[in-house]
Amino acid sequence: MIGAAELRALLPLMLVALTAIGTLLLAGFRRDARLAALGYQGGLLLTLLTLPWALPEQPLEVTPLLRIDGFFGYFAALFVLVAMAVGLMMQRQVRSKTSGERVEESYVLLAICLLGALVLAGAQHFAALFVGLELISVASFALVAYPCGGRPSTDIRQRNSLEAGLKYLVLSSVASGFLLFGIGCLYLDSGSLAFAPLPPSTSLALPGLALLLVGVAFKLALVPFHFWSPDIYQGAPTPVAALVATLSKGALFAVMLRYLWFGALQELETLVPAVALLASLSMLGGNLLALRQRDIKRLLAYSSIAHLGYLLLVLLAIGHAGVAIEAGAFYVLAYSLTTLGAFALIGCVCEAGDEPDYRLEAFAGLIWRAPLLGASLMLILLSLAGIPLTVGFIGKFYIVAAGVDAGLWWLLAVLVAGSAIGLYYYLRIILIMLAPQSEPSGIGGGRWLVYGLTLLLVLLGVYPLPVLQWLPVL
Amino acid sequence: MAALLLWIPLMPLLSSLLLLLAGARLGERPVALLGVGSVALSALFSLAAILSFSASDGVAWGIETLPWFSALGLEVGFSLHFDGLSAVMVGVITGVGLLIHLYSVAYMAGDADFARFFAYLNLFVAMMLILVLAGDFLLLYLGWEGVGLCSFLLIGFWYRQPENGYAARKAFVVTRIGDVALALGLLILVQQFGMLNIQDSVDQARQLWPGSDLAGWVALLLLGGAVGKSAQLPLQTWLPDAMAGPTPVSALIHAATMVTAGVYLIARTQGIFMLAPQVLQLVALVGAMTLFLAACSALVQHDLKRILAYSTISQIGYMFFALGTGAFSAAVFHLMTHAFFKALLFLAAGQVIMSLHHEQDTRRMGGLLRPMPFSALCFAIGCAALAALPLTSGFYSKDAILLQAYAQGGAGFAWWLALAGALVTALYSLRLFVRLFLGDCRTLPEPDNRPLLCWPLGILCLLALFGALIPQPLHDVFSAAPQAHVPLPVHLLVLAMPVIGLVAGIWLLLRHRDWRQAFATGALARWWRAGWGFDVLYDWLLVRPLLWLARVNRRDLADLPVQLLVWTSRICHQGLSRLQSGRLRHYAVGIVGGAVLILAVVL
Repeated sequence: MIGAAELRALLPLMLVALTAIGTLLLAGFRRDARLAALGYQGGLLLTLLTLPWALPEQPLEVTPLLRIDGFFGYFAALFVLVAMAVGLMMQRQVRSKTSGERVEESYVLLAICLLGALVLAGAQHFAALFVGLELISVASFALVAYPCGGRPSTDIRQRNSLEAGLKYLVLSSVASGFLLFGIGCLYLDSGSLAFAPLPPSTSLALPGLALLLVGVAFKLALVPFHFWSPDIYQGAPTPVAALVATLSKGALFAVMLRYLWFGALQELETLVPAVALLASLSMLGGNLLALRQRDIKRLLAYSSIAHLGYLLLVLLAIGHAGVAIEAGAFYVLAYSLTTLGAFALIGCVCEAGDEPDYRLEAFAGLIWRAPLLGASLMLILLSLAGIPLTVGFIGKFYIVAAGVDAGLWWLLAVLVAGSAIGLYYYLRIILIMLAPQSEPSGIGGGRWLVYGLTLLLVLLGVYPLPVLQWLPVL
Repeated sequence: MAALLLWIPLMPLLSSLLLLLAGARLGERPVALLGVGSVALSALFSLAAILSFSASDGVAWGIETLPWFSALGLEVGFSLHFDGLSAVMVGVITGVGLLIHLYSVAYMAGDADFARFFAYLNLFVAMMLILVLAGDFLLLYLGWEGVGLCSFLLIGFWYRQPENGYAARKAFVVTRIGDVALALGLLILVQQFGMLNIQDSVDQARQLWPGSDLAGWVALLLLGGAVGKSAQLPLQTWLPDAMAGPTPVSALIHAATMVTAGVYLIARTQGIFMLAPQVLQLVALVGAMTLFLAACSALVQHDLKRILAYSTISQIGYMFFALGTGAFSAAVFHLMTHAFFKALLFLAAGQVIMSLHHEQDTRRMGGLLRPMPFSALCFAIGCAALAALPLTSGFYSKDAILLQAYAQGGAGFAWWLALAGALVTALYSLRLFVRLFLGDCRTLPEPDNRPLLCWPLGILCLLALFGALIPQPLHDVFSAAPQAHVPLPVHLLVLAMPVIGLVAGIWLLLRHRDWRQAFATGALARWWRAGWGFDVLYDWLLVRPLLWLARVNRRDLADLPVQLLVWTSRICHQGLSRLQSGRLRHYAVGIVGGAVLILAVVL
């Protein structure tokens, strides 16, 4: 039954959906990239501003599918902000290129992605989970292959992004198959699709959960389901890569957090070895793969594999440690913020020339060319490495605290080893950046976004209290 | 009112940040205005805080915890605390600090790094204020490490001379040993009581720890931190070398304020020390030994600033001795008067050194009385206060220490050492003055009497003479010492000791030049001059074995795990990279393989 209260709670979702439709209509009547961007950003800003008003005092179930509560509010705000930042990056991409490509529809796709993420943030039912997930996936297929910043079909970059889109489509469908199969098993077992504790001692629950885990692990790009991610990151337009790295992974992680929190805690016990295996493989594998990588986008893909590995620790700690949910929620924020900053910086530095240059050497001498951008890059990398005074440190600190509380000593040891390896390639970029400048090259637009994200990253690293105060209400 | 407290450390901190960021682009005048002005404002706020404190009959107040973050049940935040002890410290830091800042404007004029100097100096004042105003251990530790950093930066301020850099490193490393002990002690406190507030933790310790060994260990660790920062035995070796910094720095950091941080620390946590009488006795013993050894070293030094450095070590030894015998308020009293007369001596020494074209060796000085009468007056007052001649400020505070110590514990070994130290102090004060101002003129001075150099000196002269009249609102901080009767002969002995030293010195000077000569070239004097050989000892005991170990171990076992890690990482990286073929079918195989793996693990 949907009444006024439920409608009010659903307002964020409706506003985002309206933004998608509105932007589509705008693009239909007048092909103007700036107008479309304005519509998109305006819609999202409205969503963000009305969010506090829309959130009910008490957790509210809107149909059996969605649950609107503090948890939803936190992630919704985060995702809307992420989507706005990606939108800004997209806009810059257009402004710097004048090859006549049509970018208006990309905002529609972005809004649909965001809608999927919001559905995931509120999902308490497998149907909602699947709908949300596919909303994100389908929109991302198109976005990854989006003709953005190049001449259609002849440009090498264009072909790359088409290839990436196709790969993503095929592999993601396979993973979705696993996911559906898993959900089906769980349904057969319990007769319900709601997130709830499973009835004990049945034969289908475990295989169902395992298959679910496979699907989720693919979407989160955990080792050994990670193969797609570097290719996709490399091929996709930079803003889209940022979107895939932050929004889709963050949303799926949020829904997993809620699922484990609501339901399958006791079932998790049997899943622990599998999740622990995935976590340690990802932490080590991601960092090892990034070790001598020469392409910044592939490097970030590997680094994000490792970061998701750290995040899995939270899932394991959830039954034991009170801070686990807080830790997970904060780490998603820290990771999204930092990764967005990194991609914004790539857009700024690597895509300044006619031909984009994603080699690490593109950063050579950045600190002398553009001191503020260089300092931003340094802070972003330190945050990725988890060095104090950045938000990455607070996030990692929380995860370690949750791990210690839950007694996950082996995984913590792997985390430490992985972080140590990680330092090598993060610091190597700083080293390259500090080297004397080899060839002069320009700096693209969009640096204010980088500055803003960096500032936020340091502010939250020094004074995380405003966010932390929000977390216990989850 | 509480907001005022916040601004006391914030003013110099902001000014320091500003100078660090934009100082290079400003001229000398704006830099000086900013550097001195911020400390002046800070001093003004401090004065207001102290006045309101005494108006409210000495009720401690502060700023409640400003939350920073809270995790795992530990609330971490910042709070400031203002009581009698903080009031004395803040008064000394901002008051003496302001005078030294003014002096520095003249002293450092024309230096290429004028702005950097004031940025560091302001940062130091800010950190020192944070240290003494801190209401919780976190801020205390921030201030503690902050002043250490500034000390390092300022000792090595003229970094182009390698020996300055060496001195800075030495100071940093030696004090670091103490800092680790302090950190451990604080961590034990936090772990035991689960809170960061200093007063509450000490109160908790008072209630829960009587009879427990833990109090002793914590006190010992805190003492470790204190001896490092305050250059007491066995970590005293860094202070004489620290004189490589500019002279105002020596006056501010290495005489008046930072080196007394150890005294402040022990006074602040006295509740814990009271629970561990053995450690308290150790404090007294450390102080007494240090004061005597350092006084002997000061007697035979040639370098003007090294004489003053050893004398500083010795005077802080008196403060430790006082703390150890339970005469807490006397220790803080001496801390204040020492800040006055030692800052005076250092700044006057700076003026002399400037006038003599950066000559620091007292053997090439002499006969400066006539060309530099003002400096001579400053030195005379400073030396008199240092020697604790009657009616100077140093007299009252040192008398208080010796008498209260006697009243508390009678005449033990430490007390006799302290008494003997008073004699030696008078001797080296006399020697210092005579060497500089009497006798033949060996280097012709070009007296430098700029008003900015002279005014702070004049004010410090007054403080060194009459500073003992400044009231100290310490009665609420320290439990009042029980009044014990001190017999008249002891009174007279303490009173007479500096005078005896002085008379003996004059007698030696006039009658027995040959004895002096024989002593000065003897082995004992050489030993003392080298600071009782501690540097050599540590060199042989610690530095050389460590270097040897490092040299022998250059390619060795310890590297092997690291190398192994590098190799395995590289091989794993190559192996894993080969799997990234870019082919869809390989990736699909990955998914299927992973699914099989997970099913195998789960089922």
